[in-house]
Parts: sequence; C-alpha cells; structure tokens
Amino acid sequence: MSAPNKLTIFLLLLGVAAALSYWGIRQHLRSRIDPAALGLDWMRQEYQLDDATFTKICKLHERYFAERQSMSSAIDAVERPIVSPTRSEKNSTALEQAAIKYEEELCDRYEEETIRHLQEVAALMKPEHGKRFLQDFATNVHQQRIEHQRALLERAQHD
Amino acid sequence: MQDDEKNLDEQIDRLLHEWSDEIDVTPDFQREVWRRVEQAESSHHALFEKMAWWLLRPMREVVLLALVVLFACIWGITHPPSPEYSAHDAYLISISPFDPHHYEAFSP
Repeated sequence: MSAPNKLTIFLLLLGVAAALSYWGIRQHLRSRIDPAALGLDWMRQEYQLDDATFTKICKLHERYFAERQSMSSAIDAVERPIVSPTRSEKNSTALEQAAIKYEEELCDRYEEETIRHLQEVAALMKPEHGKRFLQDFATNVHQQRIEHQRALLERAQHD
Repeated sequence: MQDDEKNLDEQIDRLLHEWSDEIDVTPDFQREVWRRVEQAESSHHALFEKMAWWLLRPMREVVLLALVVLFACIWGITHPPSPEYSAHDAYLISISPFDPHHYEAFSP
C-alpha cells in the first residue's frame, strides 16, 4: 500500500477516534446530570426563594428523595410479574389481576405521599407561589400516575 | 485605454518574432514542455507523499492519536451536553415516583 493511501486511512482512523472520544465524554457527562440538583436550582429561581427558605426546602427534599427512591423500587418490584412475567405467572390470570390491584393501591398511597410532600414545600413558600407550585406539580404527578398505570395495563394486555 | 492594449499586443508580437528568430526549437521541445507541466501538476501529490512518509512513524502516529483524543475530550468537557429535559421537568422527575425515567420498561 502506498504512503498516501496509508495516510488517508490513518487520518480516517483519527477522525473515528476523535468522534468516539467526544461521544464517550458527552455520554459520561450526561449520565452525571442530577435531576434533583437541577430541579432544586430551578425552583429557587422560579419561586424566588430566600436562603433560609431554600435551606428548609432542601432539607425536606433530602428526606423525601430517599422516600421517592424506595417508592419507585417498590412499584418496580410489584410490577415485575405484570411487565415481564415468568412462564407460570403468565398462565395465571388471577395472579396478574391481584398484582394489578395491589399496584393500584400502592400507587394511590404513593400519590398521596407525594402530594403531602408538595404541600409541605408549598407551605414554606409565599402563598401565591405556593399555590402555583402545588397546582403545577400536583397536576403533573396525577397525570403521570394515570399515564403510568395506563402503560402498565397496555403492557399486561400485550404480554 | 484601447491604444495601450494595442501597443502591448504589438510589443508581444515583436518579442515573439525576435524569439523565434533567435532560438532553434528542437523536435522534443513540445514533449519537454508537457513533461514539465505534468511535473508541476504532480508536485502537490509529492508533497502529500512526503507528508505521509514523515507522519507514518509509530511514535508520531501515537502522539498524534493521543493529541486528537485529548482535544476531543477537552472539547467535550468545555461544551457539556444539555439535559434531555427542562429544569422544570428535572424537578418533576426527582419527586414523582411515577415518572417514566425511573422505570426501564416505561422509559421514554
């Protein structure tokens, strides 16, 4: 192979190496974006929170984030036999119905817990801001809960 | 303006006439001219070849590869990606146990 051809191939390989490195770094940085920190920063600006209020709200969230994590894990565990059932679970409609019913009760409870947290946060804000905050996020959480359960039922019907 | 152009043409004609009188053109003249034209055309190809020979040494290849990777990483770090969601949605993701981002089976 002539030297110019070798050089062309080498330059192409350099381009591929550069693109892969750039993509890898971006993926790594994207995975390190923390929605909680990003969301709290946004909240501070959006609802014009002073330092003292923001500190209180952060403390409330610290406790709540751990709770939210365990709620998601519990929902995940209950939904597993519905979303990806084993062969014996697949054949048992009664088992599936029971899992769906239990999941619904769990979601009811968790929605209430989330709304309670939102109310606690809203209570620390100025009344007009608190009202707007609660209206916005309570609506969104309720909508997500409905969409989540609808998606679950669709998956259950398909499997 | 037109007079100037006319004068220039006349001068060139006179020079060409003088040149053809003084120099004896050999039969290979035309071939030699073409050889030189081709040589001039391939000079940039030769430059590329020279560059290839200079660059394609294992040590230089490794150094260049390292520099390119380093530059790509620095570029990536100094131009961080924006999240796939807004800050408002980031808060919703962080508080809602029903957000699809928490569930592999339902993730958007």
